[in-house]
Amino acid sequence: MLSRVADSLYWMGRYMERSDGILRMLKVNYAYSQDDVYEFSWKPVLKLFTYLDNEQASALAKSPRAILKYVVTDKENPNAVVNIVARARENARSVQDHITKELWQCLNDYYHTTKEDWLAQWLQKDDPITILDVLIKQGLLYYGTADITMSRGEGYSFMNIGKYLERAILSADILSVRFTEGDYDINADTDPNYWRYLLLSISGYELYLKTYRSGFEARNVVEQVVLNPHFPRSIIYSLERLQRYFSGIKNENTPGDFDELEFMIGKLLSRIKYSRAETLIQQNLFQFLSEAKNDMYEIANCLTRHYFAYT
Amino acid sequence: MLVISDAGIFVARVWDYTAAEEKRIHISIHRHLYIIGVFNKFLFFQHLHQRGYLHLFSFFAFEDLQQLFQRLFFHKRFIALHIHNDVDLHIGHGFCYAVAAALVRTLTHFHLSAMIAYFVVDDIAVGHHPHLIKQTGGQGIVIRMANDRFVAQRLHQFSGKASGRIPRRNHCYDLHGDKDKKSEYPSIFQASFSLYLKRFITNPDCLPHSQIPKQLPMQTSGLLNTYFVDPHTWDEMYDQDRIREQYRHVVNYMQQLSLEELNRKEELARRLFMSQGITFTVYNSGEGIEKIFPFDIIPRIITAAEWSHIEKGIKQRLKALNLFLKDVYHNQFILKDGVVPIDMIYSCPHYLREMYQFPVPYDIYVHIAGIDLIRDADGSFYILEDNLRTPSGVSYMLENREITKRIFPDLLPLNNVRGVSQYPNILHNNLVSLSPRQISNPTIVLLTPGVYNSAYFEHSTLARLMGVELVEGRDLVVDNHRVYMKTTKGLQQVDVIYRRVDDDFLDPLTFNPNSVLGVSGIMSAYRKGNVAIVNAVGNGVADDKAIYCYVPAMIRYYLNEEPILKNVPTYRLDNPDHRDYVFKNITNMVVKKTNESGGYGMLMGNAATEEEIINYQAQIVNDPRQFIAQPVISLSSAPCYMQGKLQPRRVDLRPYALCGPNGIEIVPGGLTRVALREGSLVVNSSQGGGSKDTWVLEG
Repeated sequence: MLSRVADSLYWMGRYMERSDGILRMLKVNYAYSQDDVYEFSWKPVLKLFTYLDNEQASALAKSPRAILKYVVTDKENPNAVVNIVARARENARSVQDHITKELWQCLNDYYHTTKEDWLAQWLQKDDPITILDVLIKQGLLYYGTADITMSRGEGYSFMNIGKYLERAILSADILSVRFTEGDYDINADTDPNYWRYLLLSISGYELYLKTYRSGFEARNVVEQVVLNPHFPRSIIYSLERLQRYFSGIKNENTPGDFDELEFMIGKLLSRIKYSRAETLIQQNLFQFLSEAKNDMYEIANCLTRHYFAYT
Repeated sequence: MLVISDAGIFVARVWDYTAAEEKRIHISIHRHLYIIGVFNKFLFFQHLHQRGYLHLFSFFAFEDLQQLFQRLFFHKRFIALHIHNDVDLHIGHGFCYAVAAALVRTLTHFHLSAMIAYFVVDDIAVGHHPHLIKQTGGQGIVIRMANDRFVAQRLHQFSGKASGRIPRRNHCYDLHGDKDKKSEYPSIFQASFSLYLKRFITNPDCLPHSQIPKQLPMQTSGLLNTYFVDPHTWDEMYDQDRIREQYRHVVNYMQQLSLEELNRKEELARRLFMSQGITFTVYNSGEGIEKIFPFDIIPRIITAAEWSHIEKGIKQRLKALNLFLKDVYHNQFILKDGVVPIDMIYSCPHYLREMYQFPVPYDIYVHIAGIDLIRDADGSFYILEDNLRTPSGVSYMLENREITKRIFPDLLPLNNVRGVSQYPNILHNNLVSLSPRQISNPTIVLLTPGVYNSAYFEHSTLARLMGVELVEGRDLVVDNHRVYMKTTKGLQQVDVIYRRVDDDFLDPLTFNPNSVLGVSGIMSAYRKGNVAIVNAVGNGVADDKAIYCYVPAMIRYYLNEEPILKNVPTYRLDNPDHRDYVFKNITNMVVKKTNESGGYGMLMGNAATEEEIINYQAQIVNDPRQFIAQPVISLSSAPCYMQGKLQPRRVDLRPYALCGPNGIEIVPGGLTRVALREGSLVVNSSQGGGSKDTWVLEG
């Protein structure tokens, strides 16, 4: 497979995963913002998904509709959903001969949907959750189409490498927002609403209830988001998938490249696998997540160096 | 007696056919002609075209039938000419479209019970054509289901067949039964039919659900009323006031649709193009705007005879052009013999010295040609242009066909349209055969300028359909006179390059040094014979518009044959006599630049202003070699569905010829381009042109 094609497939996977993450996050946070006027803040979302500085974020944080506009349809925002989908689609467009026609059409339809005028208008005037659902469903359609139609070859592996790498980074990001300030005392501060909405936004709410039954404790949330191998958005799950799809691109020609990356992924995975929630929390969770993220960025760079470099 | 042809045009004099003494009408009827009449007070269904007989018998009063047919007369598609004593109901090939819909529609207008619709129409039309049922909107369908078994039983009794389904088209069960056993026809059949018929005729309101709609839905039977053909133009659909045979089915089908349905189909086509990304992007202030190449839903139809003429002509021409290219890049006999002037070649910017004395594989220079044809007022085809470099548009030939399948279901097999989908396979086989390495699985790539190229969709479609790698210049690298592509598994040698990058941009080391689309050193690999490039480099010399005038001479020179397809008369403006003539008659001329394409740099003498003409003439005098002139040829017109009306628009035709070691193959079809502006003669997509699906019929 051409390096350029592998690169495009990888980024298509990453962008699609990111758009899904942003949309889910927005949907839940919007609902939360209707619930709890005093405690709720849009700032974590803005911090995670935009490049705004503190001042701009504070200015924007007052108006939920403005945030929706900025994060979903504002073409000036490089990380807006409309731009991310456009980039995913541009990547797909340049590798149309490597994805199935169905997948291309699905992604192309998604792209045209994000461009519709009514979408922006509805987002401002009507119930935004309806619109976010429309977009989330388009994304789900993409996942389903990819799963059903794509052949399990190298291309599929690269798509999934992108997808799970992005997901692992996203999950680490989501979790670390709360601990950014460094003064968060995990034992003293209890804000069950925050954790509830965080879990809701990554579809982990039901699983949490089934596993822990009790109220929302930071420790349990950390355990689920980092260490639960059955939770499809946990860091460990994403990394295991990453490892699995990565092993699919092994070939005889370039053993050195493969070994180097395999080592990096394996090392990170073991480090997480053989940790406990308690120790993570005691040893400064924020730092742990930052390190994990750095490792993931390094994996991404290494992939680019060994597999995608074509210019 | 009542006669209906499938175009809704009526042929009288059917009573002439009556062979009185036999009491059975023997009619040798033209294909697609339907007759309804009473014969011996039986109702007959007859499959004329196949000469199989399908008779369903029922007894009812002749007067009743007469009245029934008078009722039918209300519908535009039926005219009772004369109800003779003998009436025959014949249902021919294509019944379902032409007659069945009309019958069902008529009946449902009066909300006749579906019982009758069933028997009159039978399973042939209704059972097998769900879309037909949908159009009629009647209740016929519902009751049809309930009665399936009943009819099956009846048919079983008639013919011994187990099933009540009567296959459409090619096979037709003979349900004639035995003539002598007429008396055994089940009375329940006759009774129920007669009863329904009688009730319908005497009082339509007595039937359940009977409400005569106050307003009938708007019909498109008037579709043809707005179609005015320029008498000095060849029209593809109309021959004076008659619809050409090949357009019958399409016109019929369209007439059965309401305007809303037609508009919906148009919208469906647009949506399909959009969602498949069959678009080109116009970059405007940094943001790409997706546009679709306008598509007209009505196909352009070419008969088998026309096609075989075109096919022969193009094969002959292409053969000569390939010989010419080999000759000008090798021994140059044609120049030495003075058939083509030497200065024509050396003044041509597309003549590449890099190709001199270089033997291309199998002596094939033109592997893919898109030769443009037009049709003059007398219907004869002319060659307008030879596109021998990187002809585009073939994906529209393939995609338009896919869209037609969706918007006109069943019409393709009904018309015996030849398929085009083999194109990628033929091309792929040709490419494989060119590989310089004798290996079983050579690496073939399609070299595209990239996603920003307006034909990018086509490149990716072809790559996908052939299963070859789509590469950009930056994916390739040349090492030691070999071309490699950069893959995730290291470098992989490339054997054949189907390039969609112009000569000029192919190799920055040899041609345009600023090109980033090409691959440095690719020409050296090509000249070493380590890679095959398709089409060959340097073909531009043969499709130069000034060289065009000499193609008939080439055909005579190389093949010793007369050209089958004519050239448009062309005046070379570097010839003083020609130039004077052209300047005198400039208002009847089209002046073109010899090395421009896409409809740029043209002067249409009949449409230009005084000032434009004067400016253009100044340009010509400056550098006459760069210009040619041709008389304005009126392109043929074909029907287009625009703004809810059928309107004639000018069309051309570009068939795609593939030339491989085993000879030349032309896929039956092509790209029909349409000038969408009224009266316009320019079909290029950059000048407001659109396209149509092109049907070539089986002989």
